[in-house]
Amino acid sequence: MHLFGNELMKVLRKKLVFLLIPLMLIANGALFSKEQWSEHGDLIRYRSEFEQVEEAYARLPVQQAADKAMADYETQFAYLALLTAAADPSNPVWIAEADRVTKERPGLLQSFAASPYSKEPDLLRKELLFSEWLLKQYKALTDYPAFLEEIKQRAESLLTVSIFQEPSSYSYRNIKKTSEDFESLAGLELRPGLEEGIVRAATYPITDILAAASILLIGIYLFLFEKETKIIPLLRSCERGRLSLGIAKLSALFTLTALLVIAFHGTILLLGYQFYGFGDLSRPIQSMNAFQHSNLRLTVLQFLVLMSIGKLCASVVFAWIAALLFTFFHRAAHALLGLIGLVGGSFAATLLLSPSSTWNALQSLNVVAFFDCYSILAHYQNLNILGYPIARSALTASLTLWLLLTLPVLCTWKYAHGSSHSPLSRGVPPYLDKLRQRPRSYPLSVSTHELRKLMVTGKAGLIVVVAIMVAWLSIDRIPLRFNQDQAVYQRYLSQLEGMVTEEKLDFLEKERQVYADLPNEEKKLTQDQKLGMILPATYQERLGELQLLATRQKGFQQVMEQADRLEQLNRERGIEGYFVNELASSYLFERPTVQLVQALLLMGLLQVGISSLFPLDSQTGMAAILRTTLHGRRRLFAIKYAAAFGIAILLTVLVYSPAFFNLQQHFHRLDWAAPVQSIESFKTFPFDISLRVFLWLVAGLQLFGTFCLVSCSLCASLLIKRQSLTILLNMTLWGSPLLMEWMGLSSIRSISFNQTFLLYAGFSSTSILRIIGYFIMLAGMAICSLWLGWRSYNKASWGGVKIHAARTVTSS
Amino acid sequence: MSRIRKIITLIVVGLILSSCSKQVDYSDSYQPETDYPIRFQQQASNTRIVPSEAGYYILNANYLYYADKSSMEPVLLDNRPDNQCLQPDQTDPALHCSAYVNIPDTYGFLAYHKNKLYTLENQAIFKKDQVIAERTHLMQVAKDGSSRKKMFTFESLPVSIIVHRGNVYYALRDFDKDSNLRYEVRTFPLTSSSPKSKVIYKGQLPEGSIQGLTAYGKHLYFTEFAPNLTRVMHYDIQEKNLTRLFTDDDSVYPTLEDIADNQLVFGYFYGTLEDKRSWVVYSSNLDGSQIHKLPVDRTYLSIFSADDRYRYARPPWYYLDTDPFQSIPYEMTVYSPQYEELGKVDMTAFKKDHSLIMGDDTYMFVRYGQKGSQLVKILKKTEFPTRFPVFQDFLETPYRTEG
Repeated sequence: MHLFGNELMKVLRKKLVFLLIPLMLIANGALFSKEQWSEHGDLIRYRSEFEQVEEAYARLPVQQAADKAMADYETQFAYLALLTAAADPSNPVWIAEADRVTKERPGLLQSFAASPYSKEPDLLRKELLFSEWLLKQYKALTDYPAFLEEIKQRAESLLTVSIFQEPSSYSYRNIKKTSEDFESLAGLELRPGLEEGIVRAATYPITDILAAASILLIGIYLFLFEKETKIIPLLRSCERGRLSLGIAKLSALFTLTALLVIAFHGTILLLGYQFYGFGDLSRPIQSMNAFQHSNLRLTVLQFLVLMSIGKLCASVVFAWIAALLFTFFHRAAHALLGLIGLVGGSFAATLLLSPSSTWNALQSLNVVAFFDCYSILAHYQNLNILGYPIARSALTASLTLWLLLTLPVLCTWKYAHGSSHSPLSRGVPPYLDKLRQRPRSYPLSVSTHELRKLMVTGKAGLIVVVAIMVAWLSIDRIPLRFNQDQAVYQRYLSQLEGMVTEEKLDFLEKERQVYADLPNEEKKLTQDQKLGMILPATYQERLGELQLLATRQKGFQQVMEQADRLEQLNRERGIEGYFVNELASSYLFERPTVQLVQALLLMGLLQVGISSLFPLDSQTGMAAILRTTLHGRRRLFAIKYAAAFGIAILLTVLVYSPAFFNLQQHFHRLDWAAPVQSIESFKTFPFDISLRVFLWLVAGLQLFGTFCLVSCSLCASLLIKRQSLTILLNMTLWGSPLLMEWMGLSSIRSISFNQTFLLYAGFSSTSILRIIGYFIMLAGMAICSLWLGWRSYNKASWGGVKIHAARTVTSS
Repeated sequence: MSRIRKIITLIVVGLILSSCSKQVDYSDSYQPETDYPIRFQQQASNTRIVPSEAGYYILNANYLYYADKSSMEPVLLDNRPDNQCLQPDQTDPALHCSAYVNIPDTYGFLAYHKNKLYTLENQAIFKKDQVIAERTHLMQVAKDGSSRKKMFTFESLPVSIIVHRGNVYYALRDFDKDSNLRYEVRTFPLTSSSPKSKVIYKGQLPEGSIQGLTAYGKHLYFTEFAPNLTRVMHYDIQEKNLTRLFTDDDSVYPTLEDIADNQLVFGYFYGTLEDKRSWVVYSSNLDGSQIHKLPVDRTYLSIFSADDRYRYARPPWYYLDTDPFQSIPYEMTVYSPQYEELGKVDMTAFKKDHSLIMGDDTYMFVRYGQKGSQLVKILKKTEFPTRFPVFQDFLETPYRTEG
């Protein structure tokens, strides 16, 4: 108990814990609130009014309420059509809609004039929203019995078919099981209520990311800190061996994980409740549309409790896996790499595995999938385990329970019996020893030494090797082939490439005429043939030519659309655009998901690559000695920064060059001299520059942003002084926004480093002033972090040795 | 010395055994387990309805179905009664429906070979990026649809593809970055763990293309098109040689109609619909030799087809709304194998774009699109020749709209 208390206090006294976790908690709540207001602002705004309407409806029998909701919705929609058509007579869609409803509903105009809506259009819009929300609720209730009946009928119908009749097959068992599982739900008393609060709170993945990062931080302090500070051999002197200490650490990890889960998920649940309410907590979850595919007989309250327990279990499993890896590996970086591999693999399995693939069980049974408690509880899914359909929920629960029981045992055993030696005390591998044994007279400069230290001891060399391998794999070896339309487009483009000229436009106009005349030409040809004016052979030959032309029409259409856009550009902005191959340009500029993946890759490699730069000196106790470097600390500091920038440049080149290589290999060449506005996405770009200059500008800005990122990351490492914590903090602060954007939170782009890596998308959708402002902000951050880092580096505590003491020793 | 002798003996025995196990069937008889189901071929398109031992698999508007021959009640090939296959607002059908196949409707393909289904499927690398991010794969699907396995990745979407006696034959037509056309027929073995395709025929004609891959016995047939030019080609799978069939005259357009009684049924098109020489139907041996005229008199251009019991002829529906064929009723004449006329099936309901699949002894199928759905109708042939019923409703699948 004493040890447990000590371990808890050790973590809770850390500054980073106090700074980072509250920051993430605030971010969690703020991001959730922002998303809810932007997506469901009306519902949140009118919630109390809507609840009154809900109450009035709840007094009616369900079917009657459903009919009333439908009738109200239709009437209000008809009124809206009248209103909108009157307000905007040029809108043909609403005019047609107004005509339709007037014809279908005699007396509509009179009833509209007599209604309060004719004078208060906003009231109409609000009440239409109410009717829409009510209709959704009541439709779920009235449709559910038919849904259950449909499952029963489908099962019966499937079992009449020979391929599903083999009793020992997975299919047969699954059909039987599904039918039985849903049969038990017949007769559920469904009640209306909003689902948004529950669904939104249960499906917010950003909370899981932030909670997992916090748990990892705690895990690092509990298990890696002693390794990194090399006090682990001291732990052998524990009173009752390391077993009790291991148990105390795991207990502390469990307790803090539980607290974090309560804090993070509790915030979201509270906010969800605050924004939308949960409705009647005793109603079955199947009352809501989003839960109708669940076979579990749960009330809303039971679902919320089970989901919270599920999140807690998933988090504890994650925490204990991390603890096991931290205990198993001697080096912090290795343990973190192992964890990144496991989580990355799980994430990839969840995202990329097809449900029908042989390995589909892995899609649902992994560390990342355990966090998706909503899908586990709300979506009925059976997994094929040795030919038997086993419910995903049951499998997840069993596996989680097994992991919860075995992981702590394994972890404690490893902690108690594993080697307590720090990696340095285990001696140096022979290959490294050879590298170390240099002739004493070898002229080793500070910069060379720092670079060697970073690349070899700090393992940045390994990161570069990984980057080279990824770059090699990113080169598309299967030759890219084009279809007929693309080929026709490219053929025209190779004729037209360069500036738009009168001659080229004349040529296109003539071609357009040829294509426009095709139907008439074909008619005329058929007539000539019927009248015997041409020979059959001539007819066939000419018909073949016309048919060939017709196959080129779609490709030509794309050229014409591009020409029209370029003409418009010239008219409106006076820019003489170029014909630029759109297939090549879209490959390079219009793939935001690929750019997001590249950014995630660069971020991960960079953070691991530079993480050892300062902490290594601190952890090995070399920091104080290095201060005695010739020409002073500033030079050493600058050399370290330069080495980090060098790594950043190298990694950037390795991550981004395959795309250019693929472009060169597989696409028709891009005209780099073309004004950047020639590309549709950048037509509003304000400066008159060529594509080449634009590309250099983006590359320059991206590199500048990466340098800012390096500066911020190094500052964090100088403040924290521990490699594992540096990686975690930097990945959380700068890497997780990329993951959040992947999950759909695009509003985070301009307040994170995401914009740096998504500049093509940025220049096509964001104003130039905002981008300039963004980079000024980054520069400010970089300067502040540089100053803070330098200040920290000069602090007496850096390296754990008092500088003045060192100075005294030196001077004496 | 004796040890060397033993090793040599072992190698020889091994070689003999391995050669025995890889016996290739080069016979000219139809093997339902392994052969291309020629009766289920669809004109100018890949097969989408294929027979199995007990029923039919159907690929209809991107969804796989199965129907037993005994009941002819099609069901989606998804063993989850709670599937969300045909929900109109489904945004990710591949996730919620095991029967869904992601392929443009024009290129849909289905084959059944040794208890496994095969289909083409496009897989997006990143779904959000629409820029050239899809690759086409040959997928092996379990006969109850419960699992899928990627077998081969194509360089581009095959324009025609068949599975025949353990090999995949496919035609590609694509362009390189300088818009140079490539069109060819390739093949690879279906059983290979990491198959490499090899070229059987490389087309050289400007604006050329290859369509209508068909196989029967040891023969592979395909048609090479170019502006004002049609060539029917024959590839002997055993001898690995390629010949041109029916004529060497490029001003005549030969058409391979079908294969019946180990004979090719074909015709020549002479440029105009009214040219009576185009109305004549011929037959030849499977290698194109011994051509002779069939004893059937048609008074207009016809599409000929066959099954194991009957022969069929119908006017080309795509010309029936133009003179001089406007007055011709859209009827399918049924003949005996000796080309005696037995009766007629009314086809007026299908005067728009449709595909007729002759099928087996029991059912004939017709596929067409109508009002946002793809339909399959069936005609029971067992009542021939006493009665010639009309096509009956069988299957209707709404086309998926992007969610």
